Amino acid sequence: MSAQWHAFADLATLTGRMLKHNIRSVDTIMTVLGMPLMILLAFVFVLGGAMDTGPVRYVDFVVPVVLVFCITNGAAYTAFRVNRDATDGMSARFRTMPIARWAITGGHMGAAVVANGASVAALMGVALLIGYRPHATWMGWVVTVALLMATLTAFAAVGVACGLAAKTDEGAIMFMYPLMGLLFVSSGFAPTSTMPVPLRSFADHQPMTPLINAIRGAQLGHVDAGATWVALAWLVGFIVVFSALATAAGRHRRA
Amino acid sequence: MADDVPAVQVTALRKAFGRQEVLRGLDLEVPAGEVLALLGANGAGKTTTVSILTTLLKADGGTARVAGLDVAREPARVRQAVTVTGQNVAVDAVLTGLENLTLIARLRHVPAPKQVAAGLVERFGLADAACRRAGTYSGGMKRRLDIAMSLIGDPQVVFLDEPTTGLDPGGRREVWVAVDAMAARGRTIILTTQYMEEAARLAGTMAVLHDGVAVATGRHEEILRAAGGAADLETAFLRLTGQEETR
Repeated sequence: MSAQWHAFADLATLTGRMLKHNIRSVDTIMTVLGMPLMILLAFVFVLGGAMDTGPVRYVDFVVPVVLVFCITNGAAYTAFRVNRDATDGMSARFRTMPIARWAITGGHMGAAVVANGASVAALMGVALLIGYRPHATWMGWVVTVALLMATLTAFAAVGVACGLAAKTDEGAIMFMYPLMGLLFVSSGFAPTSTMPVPLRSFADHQPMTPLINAIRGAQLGHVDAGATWVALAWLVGFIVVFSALATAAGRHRRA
Repeated sequence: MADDVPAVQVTALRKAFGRQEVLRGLDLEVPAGEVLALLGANGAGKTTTVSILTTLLKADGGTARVAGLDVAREPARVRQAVTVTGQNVAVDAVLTGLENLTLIARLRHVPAPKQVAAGLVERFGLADAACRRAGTYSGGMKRRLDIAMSLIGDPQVVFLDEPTTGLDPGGRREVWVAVDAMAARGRTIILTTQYMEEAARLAGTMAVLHDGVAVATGRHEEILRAAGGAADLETAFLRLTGQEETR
């Protein structure tokens, strides 16, 4: 068997391990699936009636941010678990074994993409049940899936970097708060045109707004090429920058 | 590995963390099939030595070979030859004992990983707890699981870094039995310990680390002789590590 084949088999084994961690943690399921679900219901049924989103129904408006919120919460657990592995000796064990280095981190990334992707799909299912009606073209669906996959990967990379940089598992989760904070100051819950000017100029120029606008546009039948490219540029930037930070943090940890 | 190739061969090994020099030219040779106890006070460089030999750390100078392989030049092949049980128990608390063993068996690419795991669960007296999460195990059980995980794939050189620290006498005895069994199978074992009676009980040879070098190496009697004819190992250890006056 070739070394490459071994590495991919190891990636599958380590991804399976982290998927068990996700499935066996009630805490994870509550935070990654339960909390976005409650936010969805609360915003649609409690606050939605008072929201003015023009011709777009509020449920159609708010679903994209709920999906991104779910991915962000999931990435916080990636940070938590990467930190646990780094502090409790599991990653040291793996690193003394004949396993490709990239497969060790890849296991965390792979599990994040699969588990959080499944949560996103489940949330989408509930959204459809409560009246969410996307009218995406096939191109719109391609763009939606591409953006969600890129978001899953990019935020998982942020999680890995935070997990390696933090001293404790609680610290690892705290490093992820700014990412969550950005969601609330974006076009996710309300149009940025309703915000005070200083807040609005921030909201319009941070990564979450183009991401949410791009998903929303694709879902509602008018793919916004500009927002899509800006969002993808942000996400690729996240992957590059946080992969480098993760490498540096991992090296610093072992020095 | 041919029998005449030393399992571990360390020459003039140096490692510093910032300005703090931990290893200052360590020399050490362990013949294949030996059980060696690495003795030293806290901070003497025992764990640093184990980390370099198991490819977790890079040395600043000198050479280290494990099973004839240079750890700096061929880390991937060294990882095929070694296994390590670290100071902290490295078991996955969320997985069951059986799943922990199966995980490592899969990663070592042994044939029939599930059967290997089931066999080890029996051998290490964990059969009753095999399907419980490792997080619920006692300290001794976790350590036994940890050691069982380290034995999968039958690596030639086994490193045990303070394998009994924090265990009660029963747990310690369980680990000793496991070490004896490994030694009986002809594995080379390098263990670090703070306990002289443990070193005397398990190891054929010892090396005393002090100030980043090996101040004495050899069998029980040779250590006593190196310490100027000390009556027992503990006295010899304190004398060799310059702690005699303070006690």
